[in-house]
Amino acid sequence: MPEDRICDDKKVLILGLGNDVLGDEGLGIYITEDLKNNRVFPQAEYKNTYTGGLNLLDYITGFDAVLIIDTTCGNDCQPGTIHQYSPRTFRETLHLSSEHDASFLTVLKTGKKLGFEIPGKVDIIAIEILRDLFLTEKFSDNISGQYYKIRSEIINFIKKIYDF
Amino acid sequence: MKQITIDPITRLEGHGKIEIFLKDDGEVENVYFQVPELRGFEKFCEGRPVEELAQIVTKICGVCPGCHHMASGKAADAVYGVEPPPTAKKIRELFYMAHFVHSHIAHFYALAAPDFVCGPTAPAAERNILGVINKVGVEIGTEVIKQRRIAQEIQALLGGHQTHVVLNIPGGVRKGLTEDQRKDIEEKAKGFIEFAKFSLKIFNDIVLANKTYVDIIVNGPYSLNLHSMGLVDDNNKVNFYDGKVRVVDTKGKELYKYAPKDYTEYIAERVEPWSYLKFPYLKKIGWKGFIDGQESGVYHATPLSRLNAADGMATPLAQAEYERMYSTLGGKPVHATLAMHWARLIELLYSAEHALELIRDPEITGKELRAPLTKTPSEGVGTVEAQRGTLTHHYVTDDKGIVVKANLIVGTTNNNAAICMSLKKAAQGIIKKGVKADDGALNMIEMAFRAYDPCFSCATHHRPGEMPLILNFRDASGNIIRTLRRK
Repeated sequence: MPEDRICDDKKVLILGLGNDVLGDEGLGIYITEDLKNNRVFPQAEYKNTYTGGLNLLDYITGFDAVLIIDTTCGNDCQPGTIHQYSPRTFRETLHLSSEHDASFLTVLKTGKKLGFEIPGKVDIIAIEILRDLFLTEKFSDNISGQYYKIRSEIINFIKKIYDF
Repeated sequence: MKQITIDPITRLEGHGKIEIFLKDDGEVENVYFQVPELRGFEKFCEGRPVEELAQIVTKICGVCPGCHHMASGKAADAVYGVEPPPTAKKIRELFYMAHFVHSHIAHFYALAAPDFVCGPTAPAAERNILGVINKVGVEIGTEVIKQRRIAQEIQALLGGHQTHVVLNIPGGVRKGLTEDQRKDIEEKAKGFIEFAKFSLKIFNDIVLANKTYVDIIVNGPYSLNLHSMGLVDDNNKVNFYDGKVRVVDTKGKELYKYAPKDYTEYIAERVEPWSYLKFPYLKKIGWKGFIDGQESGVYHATPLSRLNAADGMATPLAQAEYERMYSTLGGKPVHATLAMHWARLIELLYSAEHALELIRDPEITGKELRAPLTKTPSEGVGTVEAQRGTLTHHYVTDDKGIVVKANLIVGTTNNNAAICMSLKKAAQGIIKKGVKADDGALNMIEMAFRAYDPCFSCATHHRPGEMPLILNFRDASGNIIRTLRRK
């Protein structure tokens, strides 16, 4: 088993980030709910939020591993493209970059500095969207049309990095 | 003419951009604070049952969802012409005090303190909460995280969730408190008071004991002579949840005191072509432009303005700190923008004390949680003090309670003109001919708006990258002649 894979006896959190009244920006929490409701990975615990900054400490503390599913934009690629980051390769995503609070990397460092049980393994999936900032509870046609492809890619990614 | 662009601004919720136009001699001519996003949340509310809005509006912003939830709940009460029973009102207020405790702790330690503890011109990479912890110690840092988490837990207990709040329904609240829960919160509220006192001590030891910082606060380019707005109770003491809106002029004399439902008689909103965010002003004075002074129609609605607009604090320890602040800064009203940080900590102490008062009130565990709805819904206004200023929700419904019109004046919107003017004053004081506009200088300009704790949208809005701060120097033709990039 690769060194960074997580075993069954570890506590794994799948954390969806997004805002479900901002169309495609809610994709992260929608997929997380989908995985949870369909018990795709029953070993994992699932949470959703649209907050960032220090609030994330409340969500991730105590887990051995966390997988964050968020959206991103402006990477000069097609909507639906999936980016995978770790703290080492991290680029700010839409909900991990609170300018009103601490950034995600600062949150991780702060938690470690204070001796909190910060997950030893942190992975981030960021789905590329076109961001139009329209208030809507529906996904764009583009994302709707690709939903099952995106879902499938994320499931495969999770299977690849976790020993579920 | 040269142009400097600060885009996006760090430690600001939502996307904003500062455009600084320089004269040919290098001095600052004008500054525009632009909010280029269009949210349109009011339109989104139309066609929905009014009782749904309290849950939906929490998604306007992940920073102050409790404020929108509370203003919306009060507006829905007014739409149905119903007054919540005392227990329900006190549970709402208790939730709201926890919301203030959480938010004010986060602002002071994550956003304000880095400028003072680490220093206003410290490297950007160090000017964050981690830098603060490195300076003040792990033990204090742990307490910061612990107290804000406890405040979040109280909100979650009372509101169903700390951010996706489902507490308010028209005429009351969804659930009450048990005696065991009451006892638990009582102990936590005591802890808030001690932590608030400790935070004021830190402010005293690090900021007030430093002559340079006091000089920046009092004599730096950070003061505006503005009218002040805030909610007050029957004794003209600061109140976050209820009361009348009081406005005092630049000398501290009461201009108006009105019921929130009458806000359209006192407040008008101006539109500028260069920003999506409106510019509210005092209607009876009128819009006189981006000027301060007694003749101006511009006001501010901030922690400092709340203290200026009131005759005092409703709790003893906060009152003592209130008196100390005004005594130290030369009496009421105070116009030093950076004194907002001090005012915010006094409000933190008030929130903690009031939470303890509420949790010790015998009615807090009462069983009457909701008043019956007997009237046909029509129109209502709900106003609370958000951490960032006076927040008003105004709904008009049909006779089935479906929203046909909504208007929101959010905390930061009140301060839009004031923020623009504060930025201009700071830029004029800091950017001088022959002085390099480096990262430290830019941060000192940003400090002018950071004091307002501005918040513009429902979530963070940022392109990928490490929060760049871009400074463009443009010549008279608009061509970029130099770019500074902060990562």
